[in-house]
Amino acid sequence: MLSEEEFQSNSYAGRTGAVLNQPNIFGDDCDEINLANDDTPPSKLRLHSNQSETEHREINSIDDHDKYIEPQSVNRYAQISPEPTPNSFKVQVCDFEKRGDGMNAFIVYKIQTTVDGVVGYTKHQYETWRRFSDFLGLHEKMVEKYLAKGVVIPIPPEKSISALTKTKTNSDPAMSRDVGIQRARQLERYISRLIQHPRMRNDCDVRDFLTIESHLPRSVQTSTLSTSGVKKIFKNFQVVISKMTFHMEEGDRWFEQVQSQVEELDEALRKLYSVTESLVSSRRDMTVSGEQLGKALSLLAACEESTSLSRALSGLTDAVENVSLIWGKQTDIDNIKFSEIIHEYILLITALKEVFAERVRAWQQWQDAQQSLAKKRDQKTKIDLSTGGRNERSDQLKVEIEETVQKMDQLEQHFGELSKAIREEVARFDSDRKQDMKNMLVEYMESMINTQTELLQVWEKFEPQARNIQV
Amino acid sequence: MIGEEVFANPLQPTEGETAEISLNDEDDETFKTAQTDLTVRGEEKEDVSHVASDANVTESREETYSTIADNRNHRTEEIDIDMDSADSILVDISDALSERDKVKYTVHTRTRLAEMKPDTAVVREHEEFLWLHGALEENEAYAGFIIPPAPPKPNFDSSREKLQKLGEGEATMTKEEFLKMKHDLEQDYLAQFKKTVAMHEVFLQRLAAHSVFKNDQNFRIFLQYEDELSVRGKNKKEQVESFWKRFTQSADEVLLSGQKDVDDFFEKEKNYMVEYNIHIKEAANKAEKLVNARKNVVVAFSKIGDSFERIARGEPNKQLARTFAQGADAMFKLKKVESRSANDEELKLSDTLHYFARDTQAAKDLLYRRMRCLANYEAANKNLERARAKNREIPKAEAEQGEACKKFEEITALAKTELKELKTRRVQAFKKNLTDLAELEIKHTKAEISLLRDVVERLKNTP
Repeated sequence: MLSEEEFQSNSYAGRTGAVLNQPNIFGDDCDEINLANDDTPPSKLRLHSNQSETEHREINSIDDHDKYIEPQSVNRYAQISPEPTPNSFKVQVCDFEKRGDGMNAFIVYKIQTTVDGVVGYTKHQYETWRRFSDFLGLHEKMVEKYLAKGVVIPIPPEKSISALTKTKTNSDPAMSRDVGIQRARQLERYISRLIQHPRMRNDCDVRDFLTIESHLPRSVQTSTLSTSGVKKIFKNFQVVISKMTFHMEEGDRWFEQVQSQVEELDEALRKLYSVTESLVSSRRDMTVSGEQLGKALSLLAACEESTSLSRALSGLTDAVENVSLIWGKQTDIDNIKFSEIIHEYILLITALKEVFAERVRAWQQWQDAQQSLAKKRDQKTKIDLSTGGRNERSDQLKVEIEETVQKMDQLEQHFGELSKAIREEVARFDSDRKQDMKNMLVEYMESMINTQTELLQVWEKFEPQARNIQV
Repeated sequence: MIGEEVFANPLQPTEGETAEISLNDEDDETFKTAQTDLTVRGEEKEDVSHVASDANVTESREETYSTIADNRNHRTEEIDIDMDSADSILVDISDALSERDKVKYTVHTRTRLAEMKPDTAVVREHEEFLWLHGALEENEAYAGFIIPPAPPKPNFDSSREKLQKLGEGEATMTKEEFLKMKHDLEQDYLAQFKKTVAMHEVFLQRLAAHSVFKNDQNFRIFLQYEDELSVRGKNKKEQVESFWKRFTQSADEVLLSGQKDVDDFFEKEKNYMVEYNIHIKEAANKAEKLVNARKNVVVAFSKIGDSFERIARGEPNKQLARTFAQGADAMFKLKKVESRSANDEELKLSDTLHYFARDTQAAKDLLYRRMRCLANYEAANKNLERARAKNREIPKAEAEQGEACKKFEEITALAKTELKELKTRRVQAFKKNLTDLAELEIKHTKAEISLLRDVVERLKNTP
């Protein structure tokens, strides 16, 4: 368990670092259209990978395809199965391209997977190109499979209208690059979070997503404006209504406590996020004003009469410009290593809340079953009393009651298992969070040490220049 | 009329004064009535560092205060007044009271001059400072001098606005957050307040140190006339007039700019001043923007600290709670260092630029006055020629021409020294302030690095 945590933290650190250190990759050619990948025949590869999948299924004892496996399996819920920890499993979203034109334009992201020791992955390296809606499609699948089992499913970045219009209509490459870089980072965070989870790591859809080089069948539910999208909104609406009208009597003190803690944390993190955003924007202001000041100072230096003062002023210009560059770098770090991590945690908490909601739904179903059982028993008693127990209707009810009891037991068991699974998920979440937050703080502070060290060099260079002014 | 010693630099950049500030900022008092007691003790020249250790320093004062207090000694320019000399005038603003929309300054004067009262204190407002400046500017006898620029209007609107917002947001904050923010704002306001006071004081001290201006009648009246000078604010008509005056001056400047100067020095100087003024103003504004952005970062740090503290309080996991508490602590410390650094940047960079932007403006005005004189002189020449041609009123025209010529020559001679003087002063002040800036930046950066190292160390050692 410890080594696993270590692995997670390592991949985490490496990941943010990787994005930071790869500005060249998002270089000039990011909008180029890569036809080579588009042309790969999809059917063959798909077939091939299906084969390899079936081959491996015999080797795996892990229940990849929960849907198809009998529900007796205890491992169904989010409990961590005792499988070997992978030696390495790292996903990077390291490039993106715009494909297509006009309304059909979309951006594909290059996903690089380095993997060793995870069952189901035969090669050590994979490279796939996925578009944003593929990520959303993957998320849908994950929700379908795992939400009912109490797994906290990471939430991918939102499909934003502004990003959409930028992609579809944009002619300014710099703008779409900014959007792309940020989204690539968010997607990388999402996938990395996904494969941190011992259950989803071995999921067949995740594996397909990371390994199959051809296109995935297009997900119908993820486009921004579609009938299913509208339906989804309607469903969400219903959920909200039922949440409002239905109140669960919490019998479990632990859950009560954790839920209120999570609420509190959510609120605090949201506040923190807004502050970090204002930090980032203030820093950006600093960078911009610094550049402008540098320009103004260089003009001043050019027209200053005293040569030594003029020299010092151009020294100051250099200093201010360098400082502004350094602040610019720090702005990115503020954003990537601080603000975005907080945002990721806000999303994770939303995911956690969804799991809690799932538990409430399970409880509700169980309660419904209980009520209907009571109703049926009532009915039966009435009929039995009036007819003396010898009645077709009574027999039928007896069968129904038995069925309901069975169903109720199942639901109760489901609820119990789910609760148990959620407890484990919360523990996982807490331990991840502890590690992540600490890493975040340490890394952030360390980044500031670097920044300040660079600043120190700039000012130390300037100091003798200031002293050299001849009066 | 004007002796040679006039041109001696009265603004030696030596440590001249020590200041002691006591602040009446009881926690509950809203700072609308914030008072500053500023006493110059010219006699104790050596003791500069006593400010922080002074017995009068109230406990509520934080380090930021003392930084600001120290800063009073680190003005853009040092003005040296020799107390031992018999004819010196020692001026300081001993007290300032901020009322709703105006600030009242108590101007305290001490002198051994026989024709002045030895020790007086009068209450003056910003408008009266402007009046004094205007009176000096309009006096033709001073046309050849760079007149010390008038202090800028006190501007507390932003602080006040923030305070108002704070009051509105009170319901959504915890009590500690509210108090902390209020405290920060008060410090902000106080710093602003002190700066305004200092700028008014510098204006008076520059006059007092000037060998000609200190004998000016209006200056004496300003210093010692007990009642209100009846110049409280300009009325509508005067405002229009001063606007009109400014307008005609700039129109005149445009007209005169076509005129070729006989003197190459001034031709060059004129173009130079115009250009320099544009660039230094631009640089000053950008520097101010930079400092403001930096101050916003400081505010963000402080808020992040609050957020961390809040998360730490609600965190059931003891270890994580400690981590967050350490994070909060780090943020508060960072905030302090960064805020000091931002203040110093403002003081040493942005204020210096602003100061000389105003001084170059004054120099530009001087050049304008000289050009006006030149135009008058040339007009007089023409008149004389015309008079000679008509053979009428020749002596009168000759006298006028002679007068104009003398005036122009005087102004030219004086302006030349004044402009050279300005350049020396500027180079000196820039040297001092830029050196200070570099030193302070280095000092703060080092402090921040060691602080951060410490934090990282502690964070890593927490299980």
